[in-house]
Amino acid sequence: MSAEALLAALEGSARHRRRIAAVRTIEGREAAYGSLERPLSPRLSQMLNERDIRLYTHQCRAIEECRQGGSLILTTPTASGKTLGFSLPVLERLEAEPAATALFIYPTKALARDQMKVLLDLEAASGIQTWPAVYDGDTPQGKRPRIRNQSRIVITNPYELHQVLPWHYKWSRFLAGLQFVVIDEAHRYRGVFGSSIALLLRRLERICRGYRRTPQYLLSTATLANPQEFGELLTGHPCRLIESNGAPQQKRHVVLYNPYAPGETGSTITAAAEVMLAAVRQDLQTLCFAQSRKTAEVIAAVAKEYLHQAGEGDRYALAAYRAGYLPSERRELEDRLHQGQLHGLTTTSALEVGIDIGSLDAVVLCGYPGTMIATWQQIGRAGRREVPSVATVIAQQGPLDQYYMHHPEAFFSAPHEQAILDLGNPAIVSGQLLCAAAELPLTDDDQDLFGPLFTPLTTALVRKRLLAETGSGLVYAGRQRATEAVRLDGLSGDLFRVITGGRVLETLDRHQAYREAFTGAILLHQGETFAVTAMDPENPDISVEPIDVEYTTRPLHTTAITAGTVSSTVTFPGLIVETGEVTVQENFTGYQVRQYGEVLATHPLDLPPLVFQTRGVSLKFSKTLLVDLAGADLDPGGALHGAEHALIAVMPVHLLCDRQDIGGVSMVMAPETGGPLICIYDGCPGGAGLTTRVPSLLGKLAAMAEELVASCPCTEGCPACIHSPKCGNDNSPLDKQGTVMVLAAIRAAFSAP
Amino acid sequence: MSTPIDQICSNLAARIDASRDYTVIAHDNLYRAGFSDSYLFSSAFQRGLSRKQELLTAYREVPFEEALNGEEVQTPDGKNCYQITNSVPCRLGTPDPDLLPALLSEDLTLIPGIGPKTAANLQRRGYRTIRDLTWHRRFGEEAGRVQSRIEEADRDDLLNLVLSRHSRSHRLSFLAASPMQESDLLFFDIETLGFFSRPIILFGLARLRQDRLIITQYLLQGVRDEQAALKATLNEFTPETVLVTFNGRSFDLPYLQERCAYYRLPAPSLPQIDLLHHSRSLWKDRYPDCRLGTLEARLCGTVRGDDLPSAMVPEFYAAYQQTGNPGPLVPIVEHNRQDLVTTAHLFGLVREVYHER
Repeated sequence: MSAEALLAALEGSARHRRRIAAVRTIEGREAAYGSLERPLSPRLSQMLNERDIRLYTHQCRAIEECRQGGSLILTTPTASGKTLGFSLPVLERLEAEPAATALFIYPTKALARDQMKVLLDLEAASGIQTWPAVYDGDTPQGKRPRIRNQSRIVITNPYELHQVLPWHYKWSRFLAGLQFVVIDEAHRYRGVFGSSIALLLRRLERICRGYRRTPQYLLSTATLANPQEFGELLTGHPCRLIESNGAPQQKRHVVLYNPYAPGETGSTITAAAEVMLAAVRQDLQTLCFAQSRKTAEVIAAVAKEYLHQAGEGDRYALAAYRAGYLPSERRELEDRLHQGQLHGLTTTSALEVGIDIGSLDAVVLCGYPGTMIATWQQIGRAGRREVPSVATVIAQQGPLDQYYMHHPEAFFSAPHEQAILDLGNPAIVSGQLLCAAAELPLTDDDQDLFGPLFTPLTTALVRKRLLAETGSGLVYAGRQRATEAVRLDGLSGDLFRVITGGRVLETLDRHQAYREAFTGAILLHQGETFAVTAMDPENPDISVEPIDVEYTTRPLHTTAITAGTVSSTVTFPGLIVETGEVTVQENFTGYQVRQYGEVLATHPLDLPPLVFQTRGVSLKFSKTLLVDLAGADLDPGGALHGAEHALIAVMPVHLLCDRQDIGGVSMVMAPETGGPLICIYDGCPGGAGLTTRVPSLLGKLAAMAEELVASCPCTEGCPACIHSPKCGNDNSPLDKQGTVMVLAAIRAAFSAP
Repeated sequence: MSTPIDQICSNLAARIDASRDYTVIAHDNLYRAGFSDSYLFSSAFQRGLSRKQELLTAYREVPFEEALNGEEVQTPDGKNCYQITNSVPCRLGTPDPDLLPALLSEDLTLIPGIGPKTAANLQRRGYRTIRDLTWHRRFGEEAGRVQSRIEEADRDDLLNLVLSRHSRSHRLSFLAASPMQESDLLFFDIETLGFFSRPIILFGLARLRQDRLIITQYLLQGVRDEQAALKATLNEFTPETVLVTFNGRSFDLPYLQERCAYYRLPAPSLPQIDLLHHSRSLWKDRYPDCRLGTLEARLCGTVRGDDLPSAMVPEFYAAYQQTGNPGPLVPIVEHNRQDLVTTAHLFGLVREVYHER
């Protein structure tokens, strides 16, 4: 069994060879061990000695930085010993100061439970009593008082913290000693959700101030383009960056594989099954990541069928990892993997980073996961200490997947994404201010925690009687418990419940409901399909029924925007770029029923228009652009529309977001300027800080979008370049050549002196 | 045109104002209640709504003072809060001061290691009191220690002794928690704007003085008065005070502690007799439920006229805040006063039953 044998097998087959876009070998690295200025305590040193552990350079730096008292952000990859890196300094402090406590925040319950095992093990091995405990929605009522009164390390998730903060008086012992807040997988706290978490941490810190404490924040994230900025926005404190990784790494081969290469008629799913089998037949244990549970199951089924046809059905064992696994099922799977009884496993990202299933020999990524962070985390699942590994990225048909297949160098040198937090969204800050006011009266001393919106928002909230002015500050006086009224995912405004068989499937805000759950829609939920049988804009309950169909639905809508206050303007030759408030009005006119890219039917929809205020960026072109387009006999409307789609498609390369998080509109003759205009806006009410970043990135975005469209082999535009799966106008009109001209005009404007 | 901030806050307010902490059950069908925290039959809800309307009409133009019949008082730190004082006749039976020591000395299960079974065996063998047991080979030493604690007669220690071997709803827990002086009993009940993390709008306290119940209520004229009312309430607590509540262990006391922490005031820690626990152990099988209203009707024979449902207190208070009309406060104050009177009577009844056994 070897990685090289798999590469040889793939390259030896004409069919695979045609589809391989690139093979890149990433060389391995020896371990770099570090040393500490002052040794760890005898207990901790002894524990490390007994386990034969030497500390890597980054672990030593983390310990030193913690000793100095600041906050820090670690960006070393998975399996580099991050957990030990921040557990050791925490244990060192907890050993030295008997009243000290630490809070560990994990994004999910499953990750919290895995971390719990590690901390229990460290407690037993070091003899430092910390009574680590998980405190979340699954913690039985009977066990809670003891955890609050005794545990020195509490592991929780943001949702639980949100619910717990109003009860801070019960946590006074823990909070009075709180020295560390450990936030693992911090890059997950981005966008609207992350902005809420940043404010949740401000609420925690405000309560700690009552005990005259400021905790140190220990963050770990995947590699980001802006780790320090992100860490500071999330925690409100400068974070020292620790990025040099001292952990050893084995050689790793990365294959880019394109089933849509010219002349091929493949599909991502069958290609994934074939590559997984090729690996399994080389006796490489293989993990295949799919983007939906259904896809994961289909790949496993297809691969089993191929094995069966080849008469090898009994020789190799394959399985699909289920989203709703039980701990016992998980253990069984882990055991079978460890013992080599399971050769291939397909899974969704439900198999999270941090959940230990051991290392594998090969991974297959069925589709570009959408971010480089997720891509390298998934690739990182392969790689044992001793032998090289192989990771294969199978492309889907979308623009970014195809762009990377045609430009492998761009894939391997892709910039890390910026994780964006927006503490200036009044829709998020207002809710968090209410929660804070329900925890302790709000006073002017709290302004620094909540930023410039503090005064205008509290003034408005007093007017609405949600806050009451008192001698001690502003007191929450609303009818509903604040933590119930305010959700961390930022969905405020009115909420819809999706109900099937008397059970609430999920909650949607009005925007999501209009876009995904109109009457007649096929709604996807965790890889399952449901038909929406009744949705009424005035009724908060949406009825759905499970249905097994291949077709999908797509709403049709028109969008109108009105510009509000402008916050920044940059002028280029022939182009003005403005950011500011925009009011978006979306009219949902109907929906299409589609199957395999074909429109089967179109139905009308009768919904009132959706109006919301958000932030956006407008590209205002001079009228000469129209003259140039017309002179080249190109359609200006199709050109601007295509450019809008292409720009939105490449935004996730630089900003951690999904293309669904961004909306756009283009006009040949905008009412304001009388000239061509493209407006790109944050898709959530109040904004998410995404499009605000566009002016500084626009040159790069336009160049990449132009390259993507120009290099696409199609003639009229296709899903791999300027078609958008989200387009409300059915991807019409579009003009591919014109698109290139508009994008070139933007690029030229930016590179002009 | 409204600014985005106004619009966002209006939406938030509209949603929060529309929500309630209780579920209204259509057609008064209890089987539709499900598992929600609190429910209200639609008939009571409708009555409540029309009552609110009537009050707003009846008290239009009526000054606050006249409607509530109380006065502004100053707390030691110079803040104002509104105080309403009443007194009603209240005669409770006289407790027997010798009952507790007698019962304690006969309760062999107070000794660690002795359960009901062992106690029965020992009694059959002639060990009737703890003093007898001090001669016992195995339990003698422990019995000696318990006996001297009983003779010491320190109230706090006796309560700890009882609670170390019995539940809070045990007869001995009640007797051990009861103060020597009747005047140290403080009946306590609060009205709030919801289930926790929101202001307390009315603090009700009542004491016994020579066959009368003196009722003091601190009412918020606005949320701004909460801290002053809280301090005025804390001022009524002395180290000897024993609080008597109905469901106070899970509601009134934790709520009070939460609000103290909210204003960074030291949280009180007082012995407490929660009559809900004792009522359940005494009458659980006899009545459909052990809500205060049910016990009041069955045991005290009191039938409240058109009382307002507790769950609707927040919206009555909100109506006062919106209009400045004191009308909707009148039934809140009345309801709280009646709860205190019933709590006092219930205390007397429970004590009688515990004495008769």
